[in-house]
Amino acid sequence: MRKLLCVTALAVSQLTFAAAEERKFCIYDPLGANGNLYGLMKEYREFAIQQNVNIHLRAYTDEKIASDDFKAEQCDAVMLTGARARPYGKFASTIEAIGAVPTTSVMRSLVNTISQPGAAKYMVTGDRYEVGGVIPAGPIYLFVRDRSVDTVEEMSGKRIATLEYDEPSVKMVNHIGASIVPSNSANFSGKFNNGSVDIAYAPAIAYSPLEMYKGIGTKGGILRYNLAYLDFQVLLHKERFPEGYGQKSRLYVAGLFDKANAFVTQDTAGIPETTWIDLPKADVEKYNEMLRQVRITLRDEGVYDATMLTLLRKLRCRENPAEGECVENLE
Amino acid sequence: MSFLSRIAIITAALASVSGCSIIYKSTGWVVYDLTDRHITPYTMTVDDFDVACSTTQGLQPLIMAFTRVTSTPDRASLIMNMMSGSCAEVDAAEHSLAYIRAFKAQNIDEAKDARIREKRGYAIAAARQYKAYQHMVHEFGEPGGKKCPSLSKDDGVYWALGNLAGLQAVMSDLRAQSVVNVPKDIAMKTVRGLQCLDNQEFWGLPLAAQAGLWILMPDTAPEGVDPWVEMAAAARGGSDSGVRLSHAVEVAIADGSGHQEHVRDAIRRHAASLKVDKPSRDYQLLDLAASRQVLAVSDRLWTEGTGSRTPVGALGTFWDDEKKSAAPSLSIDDLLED
Repeated sequence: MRKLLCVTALAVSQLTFAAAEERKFCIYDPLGANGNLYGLMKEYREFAIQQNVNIHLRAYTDEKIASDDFKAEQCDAVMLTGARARPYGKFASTIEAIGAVPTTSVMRSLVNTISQPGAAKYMVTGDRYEVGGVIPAGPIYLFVRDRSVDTVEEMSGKRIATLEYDEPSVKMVNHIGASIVPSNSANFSGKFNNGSVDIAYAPAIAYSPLEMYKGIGTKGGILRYNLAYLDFQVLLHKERFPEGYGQKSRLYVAGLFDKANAFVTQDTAGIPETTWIDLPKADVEKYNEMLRQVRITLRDEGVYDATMLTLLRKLRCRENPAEGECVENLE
Repeated sequence: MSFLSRIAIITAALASVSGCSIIYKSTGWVVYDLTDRHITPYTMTVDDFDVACSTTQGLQPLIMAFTRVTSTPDRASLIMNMMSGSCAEVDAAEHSLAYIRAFKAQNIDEAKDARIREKRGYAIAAARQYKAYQHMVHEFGEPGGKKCPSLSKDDGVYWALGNLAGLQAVMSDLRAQSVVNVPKDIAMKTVRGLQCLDNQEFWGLPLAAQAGLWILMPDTAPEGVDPWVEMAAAARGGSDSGVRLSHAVEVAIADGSGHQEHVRDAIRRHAASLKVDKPSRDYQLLDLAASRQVLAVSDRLWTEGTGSRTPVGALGTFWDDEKKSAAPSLSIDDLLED
């Protein structure tokens, strides 16, 4: 009898393996299949196979094509930046809201919170899309060719390399009276380095590989102020995955936070201390307030998700309850 | 008194008045000179990759030990570190195949372990390749600046390899998940550095590196230039010269950027070239190293597709190629019918 049970169990396990669903996961990594994100997603395959999903990875170095292939259902899952993920989930894409995530600890709390089963209802968009996890990629900073340009007033009239597909970026540049120079992730650094623009915004990871120190030279610098928090999101065509897969995926991806954050820490440490420009506390408070107003405007215009903004405000206030925004509760 | 006895007496006399340092020093300079003039150029002509691996890894500590009494032989160190880096890459690629097989068999523990071994292998490769690059910088200066160093043909070979080692170091470190922390800006610097060389004289390598950058960052390509056409031209330069490093660059770029059809096409062209274009006599080892890299990608594709690596003699083919039967299939009934 025991033998029979063993044989049956073995047969069932073989059957389960044989029935593993084959799914295609398209990954945008600026460094392609050699990049750290792609490497992290190789480990994600191990998680997926345990959910009976056999994932095949494909690298993309062009984010727009990755997004288009996902939309056209050429990919069952995709990894995109938060800004590109907007059409697939307003709630999660609002994580990249301007000035909304000031520290890595707020980002960590956020990722843990939205990965819990209670948050599942916010991570699904209609019947089609589901966010299967969020990976941190670090704060976005302003890179300036002239370090005397360290106030919003001085940025007025300056040329800023702006991601044209990202509506909030366009609004923000217009808000401060600077001029937009349409750019993308592949050409903004060239424009900054050759002086076609005065200012660019980018995460720390861009500094060394894209040689942004060339544009900074001896006169420029990087403002030590988190404009937004870059993240990568795993997006799923919901119906292509087993019931409950998305939730398990979010929990697994949340567990990759420290590994991903270690890359951010390493890249940030690679920027010389003298390159950083520290802003006076009064300016920081002024800009926090300015960005809050922009967020509220964009929320009212339907660009940002109100629930996510509220969640982010509460997480910021848990860390810093004395802030004025914690009394006003405008978000 | 025999000749050997005289040498022994002179050696003993020298040692007694100056300690052993003078002997070490003179021996060191002999080894330095021998390495620079003969061992390194000879190594590049070796037609057996595994022998070159074992020899380089075995001799490296011995040769480098003499740097305690002489200068550092940067050129030889560059070649030795680059070679031993390639050896570590081959090991890492082997672990990556084990990972794929274990994953296919749903043996997750084994797959995880193989993946760790793969990353460790790439970390070793990255550290060695970065050292090779640093020796090149020590010898000629940093690449990628506004001016190129003045390079003879021989210098150019070391410059080409040092820059290539820098590119490899960045790639290997990324595959090791950045544990070595090789500065990533080396990649751009080396692409520019390679442009100091004549494309035709240096096996199409400068154009391959440039085209690779254009493929990864399309907006940096001049208007009207198709990076893939340029890459194919660079690969032809590799075939013509018998030093097919540009083929390895093409396959690596196509594979890394997810252009699977380009990968297959490049592997097919590489295999076809091996049949008709003889390897360079002076740089046969470089050609072999390039071929190993192409084979590693082919092996990975085959293992993903079938569970085992490229069959013997099948480089340039793929498991799902349409089978071309030598003779048409005929109906036995039709043939037997009167």
